[in-house]
Amino acid sequence: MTLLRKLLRSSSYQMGALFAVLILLGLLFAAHLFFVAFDGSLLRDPATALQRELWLVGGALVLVLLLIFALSYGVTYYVATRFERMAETTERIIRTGNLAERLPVDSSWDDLSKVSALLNSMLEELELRVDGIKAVSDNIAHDLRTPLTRLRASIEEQTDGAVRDQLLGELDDTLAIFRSLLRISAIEAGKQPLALAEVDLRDLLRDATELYEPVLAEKNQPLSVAGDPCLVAADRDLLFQGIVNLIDNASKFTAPGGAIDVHVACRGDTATVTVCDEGPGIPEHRRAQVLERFQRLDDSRSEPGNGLGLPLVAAILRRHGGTLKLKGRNDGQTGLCVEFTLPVSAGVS
Amino acid sequence: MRYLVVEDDEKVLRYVEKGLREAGHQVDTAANGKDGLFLATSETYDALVMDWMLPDIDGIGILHALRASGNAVPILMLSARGEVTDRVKGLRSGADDYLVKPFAFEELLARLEVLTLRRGSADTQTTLQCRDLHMDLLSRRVNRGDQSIDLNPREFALLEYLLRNQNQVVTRTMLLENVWDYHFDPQTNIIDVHISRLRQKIDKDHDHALIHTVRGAGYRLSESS
Repeated sequence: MTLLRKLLRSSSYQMGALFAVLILLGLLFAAHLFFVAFDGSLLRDPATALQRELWLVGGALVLVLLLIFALSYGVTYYVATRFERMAETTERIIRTGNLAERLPVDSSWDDLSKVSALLNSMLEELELRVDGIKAVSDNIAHDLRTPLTRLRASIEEQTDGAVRDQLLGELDDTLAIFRSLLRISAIEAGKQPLALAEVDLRDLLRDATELYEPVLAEKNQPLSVAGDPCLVAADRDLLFQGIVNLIDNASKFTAPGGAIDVHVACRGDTATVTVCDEGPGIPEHRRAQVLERFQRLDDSRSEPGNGLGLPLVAAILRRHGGTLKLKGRNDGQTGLCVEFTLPVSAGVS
Repeated sequence: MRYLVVEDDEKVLRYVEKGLREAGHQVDTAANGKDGLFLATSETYDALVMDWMLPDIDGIGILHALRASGNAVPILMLSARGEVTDRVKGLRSGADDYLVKPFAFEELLARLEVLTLRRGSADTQTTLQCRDLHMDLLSRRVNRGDQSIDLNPREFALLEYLLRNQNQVVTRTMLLENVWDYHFDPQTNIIDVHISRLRQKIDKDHDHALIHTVRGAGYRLSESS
């Protein structure tokens, strides 16, 4: 009995059971034929009996086939749409990071519903933990800011100028790392709504270039922004910060005199921006690594920075429904190209 | 200066209150919108620091009530970013400045001092001056002593902002917001590079430097260091 119940509750066994029932019907029908053949009516009046049997066989066959068709179609359609809805919801949750959403649970008795219910409880657990992490990082921000401010005040009272400056410098580095980490986790948690507006990516890139002009001029690095105007729905300040980080990186890793190329392309519903530098580049197998927090390549340790720049950019882009990829230059030179995409704005929001 | 701080989060309230007192200001506090509005209308303050989300009456409510009654006291709004999807909305509704939590206290203090001093200077000024540095806003000419200084438009805007807020500390974030119109915490030293380039033009070859670095906070343009 428990086995039967188990079989009935499984969506794949539901299909199997359907076929089993139909085969059973077929067997019964065959048994009927045998019965007719052996009870002698076929011998007594062969013509009419045969005709009647043929009608019966043909009719029953058509009926059974129709039944098989309708039932298989119905069950397959039912199971397939349920799978599809589950996949759609999961995809949406992954894309938006909205952990408050739940998978649909249609019935309470079969295996698909059981999987949905299980995934839902996992989502609930995840949501709780993410909220927990968020609360903890908010508290850290609050609780550490005041003592660190006090620490800075006492350091400033130091009379030895050299020691004071060194300590202040170190404290500022600590604060910068701490702020970046908090910002990345805040963006990833997706708890802060974005201040979305239509922004022209090319304008944003030009503004960032203009902001970096003195640094670029000092290192004699020509930077050009080429391509089409391209409207995206974005949080202007957040996206600008991401772009500034990319240009900062490009300039930092490119030797004086090297060029930086920025290109915007607006094709279909995707905006693609590439920022290519003439720096040392990153070997292919290590490119994924630098998108992780605190991962810097050993040979770049001497460069200023805390290894949080690219992870922050990646988090900002993910939050906007975009992607970030690191590539080599396609003109054969050494250097790194950062390519990111954003969905093109569908219209005025 | 006398300030009113309206904030329902006790920790933030104490943090701001303590900091302002240590900076030598008088501070009144309110933990909800009703008390805040009452104090704001019955007392006179140099500026208000107000949270966006408050019990009873929210920050915007107080703001509207004050402005409707003709009270033009400078108001600095505090907010967790998510509460306003458009930062401009906050400023359009009549607030004078806007700061997203969590914030550094130096940032709040610098902004408040700029707000309270801005009231005095009329926007109709056509020249700005600090010691022997002159800026003509109409002809867009800058002179130090009898020497003419050539500035690009961004350097001009940067110097104009420093001159308008002379003797006040302005933070890097404030410069980014007011000169470049972007609102974020610049993690790189890019603002310092702009300042040092401006310094090259303004202070180089002069015994008396006008642009000063305020450690841990930002910059100040003033006659004396």
